[in-house]
Amino acid sequence: MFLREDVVRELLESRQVRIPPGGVAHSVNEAMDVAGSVGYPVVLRPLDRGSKVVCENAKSLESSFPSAGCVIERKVPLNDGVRLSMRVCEERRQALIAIQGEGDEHIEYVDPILGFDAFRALRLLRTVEWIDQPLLRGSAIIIGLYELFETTDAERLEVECLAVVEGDVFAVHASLYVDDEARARHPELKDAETIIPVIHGPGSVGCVVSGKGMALAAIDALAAHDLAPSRVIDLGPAITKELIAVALHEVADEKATEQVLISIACCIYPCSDLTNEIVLWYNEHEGLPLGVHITGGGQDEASARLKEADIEMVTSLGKAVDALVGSEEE
Amino acid sequence: MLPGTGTRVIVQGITGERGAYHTGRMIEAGTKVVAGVSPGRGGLAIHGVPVYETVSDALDEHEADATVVFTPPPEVPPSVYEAIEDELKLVVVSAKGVPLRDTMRFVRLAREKGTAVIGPASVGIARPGASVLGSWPHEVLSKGDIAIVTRFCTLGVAVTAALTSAGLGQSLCIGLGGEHVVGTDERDVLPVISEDNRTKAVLLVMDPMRSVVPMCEALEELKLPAVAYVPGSADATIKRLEIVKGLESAGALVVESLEGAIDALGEFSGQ
Repeated sequence: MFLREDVVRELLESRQVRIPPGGVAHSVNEAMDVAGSVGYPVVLRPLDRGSKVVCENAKSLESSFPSAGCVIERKVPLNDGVRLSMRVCEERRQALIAIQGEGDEHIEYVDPILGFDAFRALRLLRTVEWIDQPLLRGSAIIIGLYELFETTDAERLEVECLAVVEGDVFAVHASLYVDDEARARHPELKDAETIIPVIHGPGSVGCVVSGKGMALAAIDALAAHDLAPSRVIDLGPAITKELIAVALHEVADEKATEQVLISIACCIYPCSDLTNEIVLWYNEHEGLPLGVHITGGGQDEASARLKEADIEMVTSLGKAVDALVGSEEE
Repeated sequence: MLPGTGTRVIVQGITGERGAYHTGRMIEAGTKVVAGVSPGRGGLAIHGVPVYETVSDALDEHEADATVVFTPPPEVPPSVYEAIEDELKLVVVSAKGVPLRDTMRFVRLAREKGTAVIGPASVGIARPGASVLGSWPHEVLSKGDIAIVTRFCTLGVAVTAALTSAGLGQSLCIGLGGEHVVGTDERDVLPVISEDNRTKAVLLVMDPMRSVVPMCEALEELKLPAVAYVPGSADATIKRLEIVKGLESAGALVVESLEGAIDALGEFSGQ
């Protein structure tokens, strides 16, 4: 999940990372106050992750103020600055810190047990020929940013620029993407923005699937028969009867849905757990063409229960899509 | 790393809902589950399997080669550390939702100590007809000569079911896990599969959103024919071309549908 601009700003301040002076504004009046205290020109960074706007004066600030509110910062000159990013490297199974001046990107890998030290920060700054700049302040900022990256369980931290202004170093515009799996141990990030991927399609088949791979395979199988989804709800591998009941009603309620495809492989709970909800839903939506592909633990029992309700369950995705195509031809 | 008929298995988190359920299913699949571990529940028996307080206690009474971890995500790191410390050489982590930082730490330690970690978020490893370590549904497995290596849990299971229906049995089914960072990936398993004398062909179920560059060298050196099923051809937002090119240049036959995979594997397999 991406953290909102104001949440990131607050976190940076709490780690004593130097950032351009500014504040958060939820109204034009608040924005005027902040801009007045830090001085023009200012940069507006909308809280809904819209594009930034530079305002030279109060008039342009008034006309540019975003409805979602924004972070306002004094504009800092970015010349001679360097880009900095921290991210998890899947291939090496460790974090990396990358810095880029005018030339190539330079990388330091971080041992997940030993961590990151000041000497590595200095080494990174030297690779971008930060020789005439305040080295210790620069390395202190990198250490502070790394602490933020680690302690928030971030997957990515990007800093637009480490800028030097009158001998001082500022981290200009940091963005932070936090590991969704670690969210439970960060109650302090409760106001963070969560971006949930929703797949809407141009077609007429409402799909309920178990996992990203199953979603991709279902869309491919539909496309092979010139069909497309109206909506795909991915319930993940830990699919339960409660989840499938909600998902089936949601796809059927979608205006564009004319057929429904269920494509589920059960590897955590038995598929026979899901059949009652499918039957109940089917009885409420009689006449809506349905293709059911279910496989995994308890598949024979699930098939027998569905058969009692006149629902044909198949263990091949292709056959489930064939059933929809057949109903369309009829 | 590869399990067989004689592989002796411990289940950590055996008294939890998932641990107990999958222990029963692993036993049904022929797996030798010798002991369970659940702190505070020592002395119980689940499906006839004795439960101990610690891995060390279990190993005092039973010999074991591998452990399957069914503990919830916050308990996964200490469970894996315990297994590594007690020198188990294969650890299968089933839980989804383990934070990346935790995974990076225990994987780093495991690799240093020579322990193979499969997962997290892994459906496990299955040797059809012999054993299942994890949650591979045994209903979809059949004994044969195709090794399946999958990044997706559920699609891996669906693919295996389709192969079984088509009469193409499996020598091995390995779920690497769907998280960004996993303990074992294609670079580790392909050389091992190369030496597996029961395998005649390999099916890779690929995530089209993941770079294949790191695995290409291992794929080039694979001594067996490889088919790579890359789903997502109907999704225009996925940049498949680079992945397809990488896999093809490393010697794999790339297919975009399950039916295509079955046709290709039928040629390579002796079944």
